[in-house]
Parts: sequence; C-alpha cells; structure tokens
Amino acid sequence: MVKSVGVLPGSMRRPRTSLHRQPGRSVPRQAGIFLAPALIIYLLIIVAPTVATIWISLTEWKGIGDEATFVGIDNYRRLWQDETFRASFNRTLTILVVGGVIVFACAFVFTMLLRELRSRKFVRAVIFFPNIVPPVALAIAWGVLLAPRSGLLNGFLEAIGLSSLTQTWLSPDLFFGSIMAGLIWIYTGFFATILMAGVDRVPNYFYEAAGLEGASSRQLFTRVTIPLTWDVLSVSAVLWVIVAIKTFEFIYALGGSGTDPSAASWTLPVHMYVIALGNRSPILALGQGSAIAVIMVIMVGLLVVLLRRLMRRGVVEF
Amino acid sequence: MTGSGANRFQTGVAKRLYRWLWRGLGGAFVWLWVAFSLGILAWIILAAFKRNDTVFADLWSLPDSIEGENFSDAWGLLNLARTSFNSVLTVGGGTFLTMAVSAPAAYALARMGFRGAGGLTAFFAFGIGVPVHSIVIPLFLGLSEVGLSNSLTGLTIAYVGVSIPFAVFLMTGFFRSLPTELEEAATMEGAKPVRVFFSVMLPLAKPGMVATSLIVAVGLWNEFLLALTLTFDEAKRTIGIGLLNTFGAMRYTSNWVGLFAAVVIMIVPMTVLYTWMSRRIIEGLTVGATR
Amino acid sequence: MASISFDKVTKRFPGSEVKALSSVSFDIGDGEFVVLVGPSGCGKTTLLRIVAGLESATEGRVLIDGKDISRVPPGDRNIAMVFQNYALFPHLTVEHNIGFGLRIRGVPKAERKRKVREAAELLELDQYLDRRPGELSGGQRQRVAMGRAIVRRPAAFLMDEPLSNLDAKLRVEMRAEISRLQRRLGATMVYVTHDQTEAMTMGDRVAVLDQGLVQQVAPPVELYQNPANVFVGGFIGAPRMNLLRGTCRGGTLRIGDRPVRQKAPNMGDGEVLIGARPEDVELVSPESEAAVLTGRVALVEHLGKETHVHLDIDESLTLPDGGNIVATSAPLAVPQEGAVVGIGIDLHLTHFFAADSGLSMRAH
Repeated sequence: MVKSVGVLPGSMRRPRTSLHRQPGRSVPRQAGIFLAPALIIYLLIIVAPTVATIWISLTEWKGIGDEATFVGIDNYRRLWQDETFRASFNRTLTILVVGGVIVFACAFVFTMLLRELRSRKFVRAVIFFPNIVPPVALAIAWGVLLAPRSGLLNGFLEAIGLSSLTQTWLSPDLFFGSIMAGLIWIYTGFFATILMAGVDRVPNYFYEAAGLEGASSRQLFTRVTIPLTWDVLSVSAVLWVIVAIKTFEFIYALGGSGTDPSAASWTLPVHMYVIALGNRSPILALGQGSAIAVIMVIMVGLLVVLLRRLMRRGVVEF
Repeated sequence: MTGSGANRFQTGVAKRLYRWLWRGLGGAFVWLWVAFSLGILAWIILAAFKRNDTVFADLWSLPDSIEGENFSDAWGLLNLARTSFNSVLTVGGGTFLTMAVSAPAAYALARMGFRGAGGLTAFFAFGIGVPVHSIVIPLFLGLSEVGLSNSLTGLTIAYVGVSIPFAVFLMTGFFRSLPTELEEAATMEGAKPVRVFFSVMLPLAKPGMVATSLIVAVGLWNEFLLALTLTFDEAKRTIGIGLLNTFGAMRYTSNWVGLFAAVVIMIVPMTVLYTWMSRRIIEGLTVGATR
Repeated sequence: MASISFDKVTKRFPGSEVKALSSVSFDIGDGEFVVLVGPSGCGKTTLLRIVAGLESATEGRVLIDGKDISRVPPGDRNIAMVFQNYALFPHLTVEHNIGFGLRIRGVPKAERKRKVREAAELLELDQYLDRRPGELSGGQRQRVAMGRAIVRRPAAFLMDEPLSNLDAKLRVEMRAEISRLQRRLGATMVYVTHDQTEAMTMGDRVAVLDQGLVQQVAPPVELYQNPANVFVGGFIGAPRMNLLRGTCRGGTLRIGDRPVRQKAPNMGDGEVLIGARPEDVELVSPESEAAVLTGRVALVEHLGKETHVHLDIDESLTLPDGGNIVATSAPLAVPQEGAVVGIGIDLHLTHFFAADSGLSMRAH
C-alpha cells in the first residue's frame, strides 16, 4: 500500500504493447506503406550492388568490356598470399586500434576538460569543424602543413629555432604516421562532440550528489560519467569501427593530387580503389578489388556485432 | 587517526598539485588544438589572397593586397557556374528525397512495433558499414542498364540510396525519443496512422529532420566518389569533382593560391550553414545516435 | 451516453507471467462516475487503456451499450481520454488542440470554431485560444486536456490520474470542477487515481483493485463502512485501519491471551483479524476494564483538529507489515510519549475478517 510519491507513476513502468497493434487493424500493411519507398531504394542502391560485389569477388574481371570469368575463391587466396595486401590490412588495423585508442583518449580529455570550460561551445564548434570540410580540402591543408621544403610545420620549427626537428613528413617512412595524425585531428572532434552531448544529457544532480559524497573529479568521471553515458559510448565505438575501416578520401587525396598514392600509404579501401578503379585502367583487377570490399564489409559486420555484445547492458533511463 | 595529520597534509598538497597540473596541461592541450585548427584555416584563407610566387617564400606574411584575382581563377578552375548548379541540384534533391523516404520508414521502425522491426532496423544500419566505393561498379552498371548513368537524376538517386542508412538510423532514434502519449491521444481522437504521422509525429520530429538533413547535405556536398564514377560529362560535374580536378591540375600548373581560393569557395556554404546551425547538427547527431 | 461492462477481462503482457488483470467483471451505468483506485501496478490504468482501445484484453470482453468493442479501433469508440501528463500537442494552439478530434472527423470549420469556443468558455479558457501548451500553466493545460475531451461530446470520458501533476490547492479545485462538469454533461466517467481522497469525494461508485483483481465495487461510504476484505479496509481511510490478530472460541474473542470482556458479534470459531479505525480506538487507563490491551506511546502527531497517537504493542498481535497502532484523540487528552496506556476498542464499531481469506465476516 505504498503511496506513489511521484517518483514514477505506475502507468509509466508498465510494459506496453504497441499502439498500432490494434484489434481489427492490419499492422504490417500500414508499416509497409511507410517502409516501402526507403526499402526499395535501399535494396536497389546498396544491397543489390553489395550482392553483386560478392559475386564479382568470385571472378576475374579486368573491367567493363572484359568478360568476367568465374574463379571461385582464387581472389581471396591470392590476397592471403599478397604481401602488399597484408601491409594494407595491417595499416587498417593500426588505424582501427592505435588510432582508435588515441582518438577516444583525446575525445575523453576534451569531454572532461570542457565540462567546466566557459568557452566550451566555441571549442566544440572548432574541433568539430574538420568534419564539415570536404576531405579533399583537408588533405590539401594537411599537405600544405607537412610539405617538405615550404610546409608550415617545418617552417614553424625553423622559425622557433628547432630546425633539427624538421622532417620530410610525407616521405614513405613517415607517411603513414602523418596520415594517422591527420585522421586523429579530424575524428577526435567528431567523437568528442558526440561524447560531450551524451555527457550534457546526464542531469547535473548526479554530479552534485556525488560531489557531496566527496568524489574526486576522476571518480566523477569513472563512477558517474562513464556508466551514465554507456549507450553513447557504445554507439561511438560502433561508429569508429565503421569510420576507421571505411575512411578513404583523405588518405587517397593526401597520397597524390589526382594520382594513385604510393603503396606505402595504402589501407584496405585505398588498396581496393587503386586496383579496382584507379588509374591503371584498363588492366583493372575488379575481382580482387571486390574481394577486398567484401572483406571490409565482413570486418565491419563482425566487429560491430562483437562490440554490441561486449558493451551490451541494460538501458539506464534518467 | 591522530598520527595521520602530516600524511593528510601531504596528500592534500599532492592532490592540489595534481589538479593544478591537470588543469594547466589540459588547458594547454585544448587551446593548442584549437589554435592549430584555426591556424590552418586562417593560413589557407589568407593564402587564398596571396600571390603564387611568394606564398611559400614567406609563410607568415599577410597578403600585400586583398585581390580577388585568385578567386576568379578558382571560379574558372572549379567551373563554378556549372558545378555549383549541379551540386545544389543533386545535393538538394538528394537530401529532400532522402528525408521524404527515411522519415516514414524510421517512424514505422521506431513506433509501429511490428514483428521484425528490430531486424529491419539492423538491416538498414548495415548500409552504414558498406564502403561506397565497393559498390560503385555494380551501381554504375545497374544505372546504365536503365539509362541513368552519366545523368544527374541517376546521381541523385544514388545519393538518396547511400544517405538512407544513416538518415533512417538517426531518425529512428528521434522518433523513439518522442512521448508515446501524444500518439495515443491522437489515436483516441480518431486519427489513423498516416494522419498521426503527418499531423503529430512529423511536426514534433522537426528538430531531428533539420539536423538529419543538414548532416546528409554536408556529406553529399563534400562527396566526389559517386559523382566521379557515375557521371563523366564535363556538364554533369559537381563541385566535389571540381575541387578534385583543380587539385589534380596542380601537378602541372602549381597554381597553389588558386587552389586555396577554390577550397575557400567550397567550404564557405557549409561553414555558413554550420555556424548558423551547429547546435542543431550536434544535438541531432546525439539524440539520433543514442536513442 | 453509454454504459460500460467488463466481462471477465484478463490481461497478460507479453513476456510476463503475472496477470495484470484477472477476470475483471463489473458494470458501469449510463451517466455514472466510477473511480478505479488501487496501489501502483494494481491494473487500474491497464483496465482504462483497454476501454480506450490502447491495449487489448488477452481474454474477456468490454461492452459499450451492450456491444462488444474489442475489434473497434480507439478513434471509433466514441470515447475521450484525458492523459496523466495531458498529452497536448506542443505544436498546436489551444484552439487546435481542443478542435483536433473535430478536424480529424471533418467537422466544418465554422461549426468547429463554435464548438471549441463553447468548450473553452465552459472551462474558462477563452482568452488562451491562441496560445500553445508551452505558454500555459499546469492548471490551464489540464483544462485544455479536458476541453479536448468534452468538445466531441463523447459517450464516455476516461481519465488517467488527471490531477496528479497539479499542486495541492489546484487539485482540490479541479476535483470539484470535474465532478460538477460530469454532472452537468451527464456523461459516463471512468476515472483512475491512486489518491483515495479523490476516489471517496468524486465517484458515484469506487472500484478498488489490487494485483489485477477487483476487490470491491461500491459507493464510497459503503466502502468505508463495510469493506469487503482486509485490503479494502486497509486501503481506504487515513490513517489506515489498525489490524490485530485474535481468536474466537465459543463467542469469546481473545486478543493474544487476553479475553475481551465485551461480547463479540456472532461468528464461528477460528482465527480472525480485528480491524479498528483510528477514530474508534480509545485511550484509557491501563488498569481500566475497557482496555483490551496495553501499549507504549511512541509518537504523538498534533494536527490541530485532532491528534494521532502512535502506540507500540506486542508485535505478535499485529500483522507483519501492520506496524503499530494509531489512535486519534482530542487534542487535549494526549498522553506523554513513553507512557503506557490502555487501548480500548468498541467491538460494535470494529470490522472482522477471516484470518485465512481476509474476507469480511460481517455480511454473512
């Protein structure tokens, strides 16, 4: 006989059947009308070509005009033995793992620091900005920054008397590191923004209550922020997997102004593009390129399912 | 407890030192990052007004005079009259159509609770993970089959297709975040699902619609891969290809300042949109991504 | 107007073992005001939503004017509902909120305007027609929700805790106003609340629910004076009814070891629960013959008009969750906290329930 003290009225906790599952009303038909246009376009533009890609990956095909011959899993087998492919694969993994750790570490630092900063909106707008700029433009900016003789970074180092630190940043040895730095610069802003907005949704009284209990700012972060933004973190992790595996334009454009970049900078998508669509036409390896595409899709799928499993937890409402 | 006084004092000092370090280093980190980002942007904007022969000779100088010559060069390099028109058409049309089909689909997935809605939502979300360039060849062949290759209509349809997964994903989150009672109230008043959607849910989801369409539009505006592979006529070029071509031509012309001017031209519309609407974009991204 | 009948309505939510409602059967007459009351999770809101058509019954039927409406969509049941949080459309003005249902039904604009104006005048909302819900106070929003319900002149109104979001003063005002409005419109009304004051003051009849079962359907006074079982006895009335364990042998009632001198009403032998409302508990000297047991004063609450005295008694005499005994007494004759007092109970004023079933032993 506990009187509800206005915490949660009983009616809000009740499991609800959907409103539209009405007696005497055929639900799937209604839903069908709403879903059909998007579903049809999606099937035609994304799903069907994906299926076609799987098929192409089982053939040898030099391009439009050439007859595709079925070769089974030959493309995959050859990729497995291909040093270049393995290097590309490792680079993508490095972006995914090393880049991911750095991007999220930076994003967390921003999230924690900006909680108390007065100019947080301005900072947030600035760090998100690279995400609305065309990747080609970002690559141009990065090129200008790192150019060997006349680049801004080397110029800056010389200007402050640290010419010993100048490097040929875009040389094959350092190229991939430069790419990573660029990706981190671009995507930290994106993920910091998402995390910050997640943190903003946590009502302040949790922090006040924890503060009254004597929690330090690090404890606030691990005991309040992380658990209460877990759903945002989980979505962010999934988005990072997708972004890290798919990211292409920036690397491609940085690698060469309109030419195919050198193999030292290839990641899976760049590798795929170069052999399947690049300037080596007309001797393209569409089959093998498609095999790489299929591998990427499978990677994304597996990792997303895995992450969802690992990070699954009851939804916390507040 | 009496003996721990000095100890407590020490930890107090250590704590303060730690905090001070964290604040100081953290602040430096944030502001260096911001200064770096703004610095690059500012340098490119300034460089767009400089002269090609001196732009790299004296990195840190201000432009001698504000001249529009680089911009008229860039105008020609980008073929701006043509490409901007094509981009506005395909990006505008693509965004509008994306929203027109994604909003009802997301509503059905989020609110109609039919069997298989969860699986279908995941099926749409799968599309987010498909790399665009892995499907361009079959897509090109398919569009050729129906006579839509090398056509802005075909490109627009492709734009809609590649935008649907993320738009449906975000809008589903939005519709989930709206209160159920409003739908129920409308139903009690006699409204049928189509009516409930158009009279109640769609107006309520307006912030989400605005945010989602902005995100879709920014993505398509900056896109060049589909445009590059699905169209090949000079007359069908979009601004994204314009920039890529300008960049490619650099190898022969070394017209850096023209390239910088082209970059400035290309990012201006999105920057204006962003400064005006950034709050909505950012909020939209989170509500949609987390509900 | 309309009558509503529940015929063995049972509801089980998918994935849940427990029945939210089990075999609910009772009738609501044309023009009657029936309050559904009970603790959180008792099924009252579910029952209301089944009438509305927002949920469907797993088994059983709901009849409106004798017709089974199970397959009629909510909008075609000629029923209006006021939601707990009002569910006003935030993007529409007051006028369009009230007129929403009329517009859906294609009522011509002039007629719609006239009807909305009438409803607004009745609810004193006529100055606010151009405002949006966000610009209104809680009380005004509540009235708009009422306006949206009455403008269509539906056969029945359903209200789901409509006053729970208002402050205390406004709640008292709206309570009276809703009752007046219901009488004026002569409408059938089903009103859900967890507040027993609302239940007692507003309803022609009150249906008490607990754990998906209807405990009793009766007019408020009847419910108070003649509760059908321990639950109803305990739920209605504040402070709640005191319950003591007792045994009855050959017409003699014992509370613990102590026989009660007063002759118990006629009932069979066995364990009983003795229910005494606080106003029927008398504080006497421990040695007095009227004392059926003794207790220590634990807490004294002065409310002005009366005083509540909480007494600790031997725990074996109360129910596990029954706590202590509460007596109301006149403000002046109050014992000190800690004092030991005698507790007198007039058996003619008490309720007797069977210890095993909890059912009232009076009616039989």
